[in-house]
Amino acid sequence: KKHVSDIELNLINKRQDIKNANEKKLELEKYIETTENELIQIGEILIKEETMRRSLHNDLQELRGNIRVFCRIRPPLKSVEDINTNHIKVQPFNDNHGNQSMEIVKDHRCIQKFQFDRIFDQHEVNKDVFDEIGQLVQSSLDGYNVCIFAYGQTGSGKTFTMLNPNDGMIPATIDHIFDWTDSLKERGWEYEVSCQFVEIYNENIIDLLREETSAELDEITNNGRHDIRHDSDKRITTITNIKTSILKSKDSVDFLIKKATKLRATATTAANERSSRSHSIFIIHLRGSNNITGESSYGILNLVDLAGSERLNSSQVEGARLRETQNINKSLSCLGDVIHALGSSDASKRHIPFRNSKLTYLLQYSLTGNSKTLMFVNISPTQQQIQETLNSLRFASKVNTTKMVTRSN
Amino acid sequence: NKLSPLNNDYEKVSKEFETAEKNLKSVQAKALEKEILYNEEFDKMEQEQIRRRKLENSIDELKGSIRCFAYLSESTLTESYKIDYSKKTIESVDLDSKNNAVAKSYSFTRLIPSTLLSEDDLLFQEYQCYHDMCLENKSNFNLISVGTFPWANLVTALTKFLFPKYLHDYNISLQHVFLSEDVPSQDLLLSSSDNSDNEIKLKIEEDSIELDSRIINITSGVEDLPSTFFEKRVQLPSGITILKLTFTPKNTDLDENIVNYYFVEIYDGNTISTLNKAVTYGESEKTPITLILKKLLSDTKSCFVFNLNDTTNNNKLLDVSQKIMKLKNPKKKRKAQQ
Ligand SMILES: Nc1ncnc2c1ncn2[C@@H]1O[C@H](COP(=O)(O)OP(=O)(O)O)[C@@H](O)[C@H]1O
Ligand SMILES: [Mg+2]
Repeated sequence: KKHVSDIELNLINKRQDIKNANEKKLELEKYIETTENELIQIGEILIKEETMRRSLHNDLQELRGNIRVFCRIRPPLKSVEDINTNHIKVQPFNDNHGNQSMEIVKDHRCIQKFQFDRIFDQHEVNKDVFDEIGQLVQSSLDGYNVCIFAYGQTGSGKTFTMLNPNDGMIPATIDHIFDWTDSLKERGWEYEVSCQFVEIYNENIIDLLREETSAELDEITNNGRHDIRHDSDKRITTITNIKTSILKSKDSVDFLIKKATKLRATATTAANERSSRSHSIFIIHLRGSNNITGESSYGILNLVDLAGSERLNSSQVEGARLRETQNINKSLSCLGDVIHALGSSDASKRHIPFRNSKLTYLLQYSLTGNSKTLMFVNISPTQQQIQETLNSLRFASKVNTTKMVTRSN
Repeated sequence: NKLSPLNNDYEKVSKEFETAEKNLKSVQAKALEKEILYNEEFDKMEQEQIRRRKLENSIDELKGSIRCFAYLSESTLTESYKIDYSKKTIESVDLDSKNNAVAKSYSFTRLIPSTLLSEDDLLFQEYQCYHDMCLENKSNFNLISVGTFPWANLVTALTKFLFPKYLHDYNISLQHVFLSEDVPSQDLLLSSSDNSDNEIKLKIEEDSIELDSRIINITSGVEDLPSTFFEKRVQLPSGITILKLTFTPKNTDLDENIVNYYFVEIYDGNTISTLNKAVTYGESEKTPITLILKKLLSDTKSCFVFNLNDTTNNNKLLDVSQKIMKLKNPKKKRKAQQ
């Protein structure tokens, strides 16, 4: 009898245990559910934080002035380059000062420090870069003139940054312009987007959107068909006889770029790749008008893939190559001088040498007044290129020196 | 056998229990996993928020103006005010002397919704970057709270914020006084019986405001403060309280590394008018309180927090806040030796 009741008691206890376990499980399931919901909320907050952070970083840069300089380190090329890049040390972004610094170690002892508004390390892809400059690009829709340059030695990633299909700055910009103009339509804004694509080679302008059949290249350059005209009243620059394409959708741009790139590549005169010895400038005109408020805006966005910055030793080249080299050196140093002068606190009083090169002359109105300028300094990650890397970083730092001057309002 | 059905039952129930146990275990494992993920994401969120606040603080710093935070809520502002959190403005429509409507806009460095953020949050989230920056740069600085009634929660929150957090790196000493032009001043670290008629002497020095009142060295935290510290303050017709702290970094004892910090409370209409005079250009009235305020504004970095959670008297507060928003913080002075 006693035995029976023991078992019965155990049975009752076990049943209770089951009930407890199930209740606890239910409780935990609820806990999991609320945790999941909270995770979703945190995810949303994180997205908002990222948007705010970017916009604040942009505000901070604008407070400092109209010129910003970003550094970009490309990854080592697979199976070609040493993957060891310990000589370049990138510090985390400094939230207190809103900038970022890096150190280059040369010969194990000489350490040089450089500071930029932002440094993109080798793991950061084109999308990361575009996300950071999106607001700058967007301000051209508000009627600002914007110039974005890619500076660096040949092979450092300039063309990859600017033109890589789909995610390079030019394709991504076009993509976004159509997204933005679509969303602005609701508020009454209509935009006309058009573009030009030119190359400056040996201080001559070449139209990269021309009909291929139109003429032989040499003939075009020699004719000097393309002149730069400034309308100083309206502050508008035109290039004579240049083809302008109206952009209706992003697909039309892919086609244009492919065609232009082909034109640029096949225009090789000697064995050397011409694209490393010329500047290419993609010019986007954004004309907006608002039929509700009657406002209008006109902004120009210039995306420039500069000639390779490697200093060719003038003593080693002659003839045509010598002239080419001198022209590149001169136009790049002129660009540096101009940007440097524009960033100085007394820019309005200074003489700025725009006329010293075709490139700066062409971009004069896009660099002055209510304009914004960004320079990417692209660098190679390999130890072998360290001297060129240091040259590039020094050039960019010179452009950057006046950064700490607060713009007076 | 009479036992066997029971035994069978028992076996069956045991199996059921095992399954239930097993299910519970797997849910427990899943819950733990989620919890870890949650904690990671939560930390990441906090980290990102800190990064963002540091950037905001750098922007405030670059702009160079005196920081003005508004602590407010829709429910306590009267209907004629509209809060625009994205523009950081309060918009209102007033009537001028001829009964014409005039739109007014009051802008702030930050608008802090009191329904979402407690005084603790206000200090730990919105204010902290500024505090840390001043300590790091060794600039003397202040926090000035302005409202129309005593703001006890802020004082409590401030002690929580300061101690023990900063005791790790700094030796901290503290003084606390009430100063008034109309009623006797008091050393708030003494009980009222000790205080009878000791006027507080105050000396405006080059680098600080010196008070001849009791000094307490804080070693462990809030418990070092006298219990009277947290007593409810009575609303007096006019006056300010100053809580002066000196932060001396633990690793050095050089004088030049000491940072003076002043937490000032203004909580009556008369003193708000005095503040208004102190920040009005060309106003030459020199009373002890205006001199103190002017000294703080001209020689130390300032941050104001306006308590707009009073339904009756926002106009006066808003007007003075806009005068302060236009003032610049002093440029950091080089110490004489350097
Ligand atoms: N960020 C990057 N990620 C991956 N590959 C890159 C990156 N940047 C450059 N490259 C590669 O490196 C090579 C040289 O880049 P390129 O853009 O042609 O240099 P540049 O235009 O400066 O002469 C190309 O093969 C390119 O695909
Ligand atoms: Mg290239």
